[in-house]
Amino acid sequence: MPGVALQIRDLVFRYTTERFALRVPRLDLSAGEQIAITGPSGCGKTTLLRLASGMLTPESGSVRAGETVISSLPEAARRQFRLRHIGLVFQTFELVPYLDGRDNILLPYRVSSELRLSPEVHARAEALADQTGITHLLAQSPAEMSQGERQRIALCRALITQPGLILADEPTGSLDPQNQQRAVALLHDQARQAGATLIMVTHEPSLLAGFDRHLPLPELQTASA
Amino acid sequence: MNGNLAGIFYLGSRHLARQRGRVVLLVAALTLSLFLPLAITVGVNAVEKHLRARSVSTPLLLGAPGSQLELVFNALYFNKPSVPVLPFGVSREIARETGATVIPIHAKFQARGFRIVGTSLDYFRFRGLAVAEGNLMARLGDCVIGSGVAKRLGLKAGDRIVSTPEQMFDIAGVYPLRMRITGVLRPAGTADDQAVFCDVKTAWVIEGIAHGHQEANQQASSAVLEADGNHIALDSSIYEFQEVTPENIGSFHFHGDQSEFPLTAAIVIAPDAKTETILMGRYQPGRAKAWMHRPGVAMEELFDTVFRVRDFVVAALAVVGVCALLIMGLVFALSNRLRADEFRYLANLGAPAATIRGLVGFEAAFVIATSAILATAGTLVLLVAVPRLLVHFAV
Repeated sequence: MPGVALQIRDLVFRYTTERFALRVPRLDLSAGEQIAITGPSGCGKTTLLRLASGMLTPESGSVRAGETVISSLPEAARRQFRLRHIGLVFQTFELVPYLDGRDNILLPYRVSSELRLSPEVHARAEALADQTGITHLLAQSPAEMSQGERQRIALCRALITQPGLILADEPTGSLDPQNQQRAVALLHDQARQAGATLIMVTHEPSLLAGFDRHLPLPELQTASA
Repeated sequence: MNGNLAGIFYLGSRHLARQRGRVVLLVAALTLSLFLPLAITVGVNAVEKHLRARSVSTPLLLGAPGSQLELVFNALYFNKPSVPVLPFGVSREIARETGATVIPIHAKFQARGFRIVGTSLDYFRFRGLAVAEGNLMARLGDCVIGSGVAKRLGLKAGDRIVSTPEQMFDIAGVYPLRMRITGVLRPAGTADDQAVFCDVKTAWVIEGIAHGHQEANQQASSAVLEADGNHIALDSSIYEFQEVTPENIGSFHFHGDQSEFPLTAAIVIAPDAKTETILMGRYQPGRAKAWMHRPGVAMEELFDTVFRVRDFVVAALAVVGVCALLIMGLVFALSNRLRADEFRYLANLGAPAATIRGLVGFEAAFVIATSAILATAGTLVLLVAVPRLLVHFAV
């Protein structure tokens, strides 16, 4: 699937139990663009990604991915959209502990009532594993893997549905500096090969090279981007 | 949006495989909680049905004063040998005065672990027993064996079986009698399959009331201890026959008054209801020298007690089952709490809520369904097996 453009307009979100409020007046990403969002801890980077993926609903404003206004979809439709069109890489990777590497990669197909698990999907999983150098991990459980290996499994899972948008929330947070560079390079390569739009949240300045744009969130909250 | 059933099953089964030890324990606990009350109910009902059939088919039972239930178990199921004995004369008196058919039962002794039942040929007609091989007993010392005895001991018509002495060191007590097997009964699925039947007189021989020995006048004078007219006392060198043969049958004789010879019970088949009522009145338990009972009523009282105990046990097991369910609920709740992160991951990925709910309930559903299937299967097996076992063991 080709990359999708992302538009955020007048976004306001507030957690009910906190005084914190996230405001993003405007953010535009063209299809296939790769951007990094930075900022200090607690400034709302993860919240922005969760709003962009439809995990959270804004108090006001809109999030549009391609032709779909995600923020106005009901919960079930948002989940369905996320599963089909958005690849997510989490800081803690969020692998299911009792599934092996292959089943974790194929997880979107196991839980979806829309996506069909075909031989082509299995072949794609093999190919992704081969490209990321984790073929030997397909039969292993996450407990037997290193952090870097789990990260690559999580990346393969994010790409298996051929999403138009990849959202990566500090995916290198638990890796050492050498592996951080390797992981981000892999993310760039895979997103580029898939033609997907990429947003990565990080607070590591050393990882910003290679992105089309770098947007500090505090600036994003006050200015249009 | 619907959940993905195949996915729920796949992921659920993967999780169960990881937790198989716990799942096996939960299934075992719930299966037992469900199965035990069902098994007890099924087992007791099957035994009751089986025992009731034999008791209600026996109209009246005469016995010495004593326990009604012990008498019924002695005369109907041959498994209570130590009951007070009834004088044979009482049964003859009833037959003579009322025209009732009175079938003597003498069920005290054993042969190789099987009850020896001294009776008359009327017993076989009354119970509808027929020989599968050979004939019914024809003379003193003959016996007919039940199908279970024949199968267990590998005996057939023409073989011999020896009665078991009751006390090894009591040389004046029950004498081992070698009986000739004249026939093997067809399987009846009752206690008759596990018994050795002989004429009541043969049972008296075993008891030592009758015996056969060498003629006294053939003995050397040294064996004669005392002789005066018709009475002669001999020492222990005289040979007492242990088997009745055509050659020695004439020497077998009884000592004492036959009307006082012991029976453990007598089955009474009155010619009509009026006679039956008269007999019940005349031999009312607690008021006569012999007591008349209706076995069906006696067993009914036993069943009432058994059912009360059964209900209590089933109720207790039900409480244990409810406790097991509550503990299981707690285990599932704790398990799902431990899996909260996993369910959150799935929701983050975009898994439909129905799929996540399916996964939350999968383990409980699997354990409950598997336990229910196992308990039902076990109960169905019992429903088929218990009646067969009762017939096999001829209770």
